[in-house]
Amino acid sequence: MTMQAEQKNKDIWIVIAAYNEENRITQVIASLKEQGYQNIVVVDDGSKDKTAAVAEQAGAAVLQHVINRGQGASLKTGMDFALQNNAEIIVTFDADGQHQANEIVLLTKPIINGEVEASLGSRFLEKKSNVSWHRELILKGGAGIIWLFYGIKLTDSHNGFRALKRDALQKLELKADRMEHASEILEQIAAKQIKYKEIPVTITYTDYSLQKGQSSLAAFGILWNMIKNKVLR
Amino acid sequence: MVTFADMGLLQLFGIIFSFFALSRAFLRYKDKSLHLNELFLWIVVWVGVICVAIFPSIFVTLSKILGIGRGVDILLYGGMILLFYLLFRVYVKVEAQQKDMTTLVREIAIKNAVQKTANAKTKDNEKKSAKSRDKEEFEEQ
Repeated sequence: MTMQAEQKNKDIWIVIAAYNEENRITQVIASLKEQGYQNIVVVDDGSKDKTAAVAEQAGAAVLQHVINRGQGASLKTGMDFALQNNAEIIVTFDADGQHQANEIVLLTKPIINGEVEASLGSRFLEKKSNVSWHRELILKGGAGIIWLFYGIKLTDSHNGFRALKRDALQKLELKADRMEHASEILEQIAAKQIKYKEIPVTITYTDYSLQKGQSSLAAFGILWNMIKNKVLR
Repeated sequence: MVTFADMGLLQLFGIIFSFFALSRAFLRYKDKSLHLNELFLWIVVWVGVICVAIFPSIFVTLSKILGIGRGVDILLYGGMILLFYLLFRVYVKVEAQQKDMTTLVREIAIKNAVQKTANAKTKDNEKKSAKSRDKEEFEEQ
């Protein structure tokens, strides 16, 4: 790797929220290290298995939530830690193998060259992912609601593969503990007028990740939270 | 008005209990567990209960004014509104507690990680100084 690339990877922090991922986390961390990322922080959200120990063995910095607080809370813990350690760019990455480590550069490039402050992954910009019809329907519906509520037009309303510049992240007020964090960050990006761009990414659905992940119905819980926050905030 | 003779057992019990509750409230105020405005609130509540017990027709009149069916219905509607309000208060409290818990858990997580790194560094330094000491001893020989 070039000196420049090494320097860049020094300031890039990958934040992973993990709950009971002892089977997958090693591979995920390995794939990231392979791409040259040196700063990987795994937030173990009160896992009942050996996720924390396994992640540490694999070479990641590990933060442990004593009790389960949710993906949103875990990512924020990881992001706070990264910021404390002088991260310049923070990338949120899934623990279950749905994201590709070699696509991180697609998210960080526009931030590094100053084009945007936030890169938002989209699985629909280029049809690289195999999305089920009902999930696509819910996500497209979600994008419509996001546009209605926050005024930003996206093709993918609920994608955890994102990168943020330090300054932008510090401006965001992120309080959502559970899955509604994905919408909250969009609301904040709109509210704080952060320059963003959607980047086509591949989401790989495997039996493992689908079984572990959200049912399409969880979207309604998120919608309820969005409405609540819109009214109360 | 209802005389003692006409009064049902429920109303009699209600009046007696209200006086008892009032006495408790005064005692609590005296030993400082209750503030003046809290005491005032409880006086209003229990005097209200006494009034209703002596003049149950209050509700009938109220219901006529408000245009609701029976006197009892006012209690029901009022009770439901009160319940919703209290439930809302509880909900807000729970949400706030959840956020507080996350704040605590986060602080513990980061503190422990920082501590671990600090410990590792100290161990590392101890190893290094032990090594250099050994080296010096060896060189002296």
